[in-house]
Amino acid sequence: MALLEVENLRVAYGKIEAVKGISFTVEAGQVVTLIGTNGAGKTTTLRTLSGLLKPAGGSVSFDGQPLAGVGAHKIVAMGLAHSPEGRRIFPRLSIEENLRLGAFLRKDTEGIAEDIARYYELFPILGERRRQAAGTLSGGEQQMLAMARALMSRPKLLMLDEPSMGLSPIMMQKIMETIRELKAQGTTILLVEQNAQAALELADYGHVMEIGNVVLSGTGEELIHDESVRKAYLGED
Amino acid sequence: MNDLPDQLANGLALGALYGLIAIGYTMVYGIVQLINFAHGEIFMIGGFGALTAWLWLPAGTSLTLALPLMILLGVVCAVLVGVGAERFAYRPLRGGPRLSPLITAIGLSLALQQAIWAFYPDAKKARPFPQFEGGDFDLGFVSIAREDLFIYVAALVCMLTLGLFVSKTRTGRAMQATSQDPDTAKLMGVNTDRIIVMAFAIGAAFAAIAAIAQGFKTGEVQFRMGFIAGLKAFTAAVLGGIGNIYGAMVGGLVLGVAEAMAIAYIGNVPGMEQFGGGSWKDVWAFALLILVLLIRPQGILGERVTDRA
Repeated sequence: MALLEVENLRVAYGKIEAVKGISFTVEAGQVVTLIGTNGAGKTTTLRTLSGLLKPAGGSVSFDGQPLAGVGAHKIVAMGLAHSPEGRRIFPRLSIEENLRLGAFLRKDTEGIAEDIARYYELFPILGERRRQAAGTLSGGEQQMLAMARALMSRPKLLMLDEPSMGLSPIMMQKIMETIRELKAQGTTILLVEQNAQAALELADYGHVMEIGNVVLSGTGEELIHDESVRKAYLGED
Repeated sequence: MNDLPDQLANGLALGALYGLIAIGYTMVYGIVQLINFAHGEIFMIGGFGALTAWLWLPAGTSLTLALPLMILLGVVCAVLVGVGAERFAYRPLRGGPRLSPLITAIGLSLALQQAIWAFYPDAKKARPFPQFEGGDFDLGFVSIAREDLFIYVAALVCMLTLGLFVSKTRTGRAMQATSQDPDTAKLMGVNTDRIIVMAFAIGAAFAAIAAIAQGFKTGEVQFRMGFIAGLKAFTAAVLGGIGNIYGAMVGGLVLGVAEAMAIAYIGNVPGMEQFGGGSWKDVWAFALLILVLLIRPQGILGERVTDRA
């Protein structure tokens, strides 16, 4: 049984259906990516999986348990962490306080301290500025903080929504390298990205979304060489 | 004769009272963006709760001994009403149009006033509140009214406790996170419903303590006392920067001192003789609010609201 199983998931805002019955799975240890243009329903899918939105139909099971009707704060406790679009760090809390909130449900004080130290090592800039308000960080630094904060819950599945959005090419590369590193350490990741090239290069599996549907699925390798994908998302004629 | 220190002490006591009530407006607003217009009535109910405790005790009990029980019952009553209002009046409307909870709050405010008027014994007119015996404390340069001592101590203890709670505890951090970004707080595992209930409860408890202080100051409690006190405290919250707990206290103190100064000195300004005295104090308080909003719309300690990415 896969870690995450999404079956015919539908999500609606009022009468408008943003996700129209999609199915996919994420196996433990995999990196799976959802790619597609703005408005394809990728962010809506993630927000529904983490419990911020209620599905209109279909079923989702995580780690063998159904997610229907489970509140967002309880889904985190099950091991599903979500680093949202736009980073959404807490701007007036310090960097360290942001990280501690990521570990809000954990009780192991020592383990929390160890993890904080680990992410300061992974992202030295966060350690240098630990007492500073998180809102003073640059976009790329905020993205590092958002990822580290999500990892602080020691999730079984990490969902990253547009981690490279609005970043400089250098910073984008750095974030992608970090994701690659997380993958190498065995972190299971569901990645939503507009930068399809970068996402497919590191994903085991990918799904292409268009206006609420999954129109194409395959391994990262397959999709990167697929003609329609190259035309639509990789900027080739 | 220089009575400035006395007037300042007077204004600070009044301001601390406004500030304590203002905390309730500002915490609830900070987390759910709702102006709880029934907060003045929660304050009033705290006063009546304390009075009830006093009336239960055998006649002749010393007020100092009775005070802890009065605080306890006042706080319990106010918190029950505050939390009940959140659970049954506001929560069902969450996520709906923003006008609905506002109108509900105004309706609730009237309903609570009328409930006390109709059901509390003899509450159709003001009921006398117990008074401390003995004169003012003379410190040489300033004399402190005996009944003001309570509000000074209460405001200090409440603010220190709240400040420590919000900045140092896990739940306090969750509260800050919820006020900055409720959806993301949920993603951290914070039960935001619980945080909202706590904000209402803390605000109600502080309001009850303020009501007891006002009872000591004016010698009475009455079913309408929440209206003007609530309006002033709301002013204080906006003045200090709504959503900011320290701003609420600062706004309260500024407002209280400004009122005291206006009462004492504006009549001495040539040509302004008719504007001095107590009857104009509310006018000056609201004039100050307008002035601050013109110069600094976000309030004294408020931060500019920026769009989220």
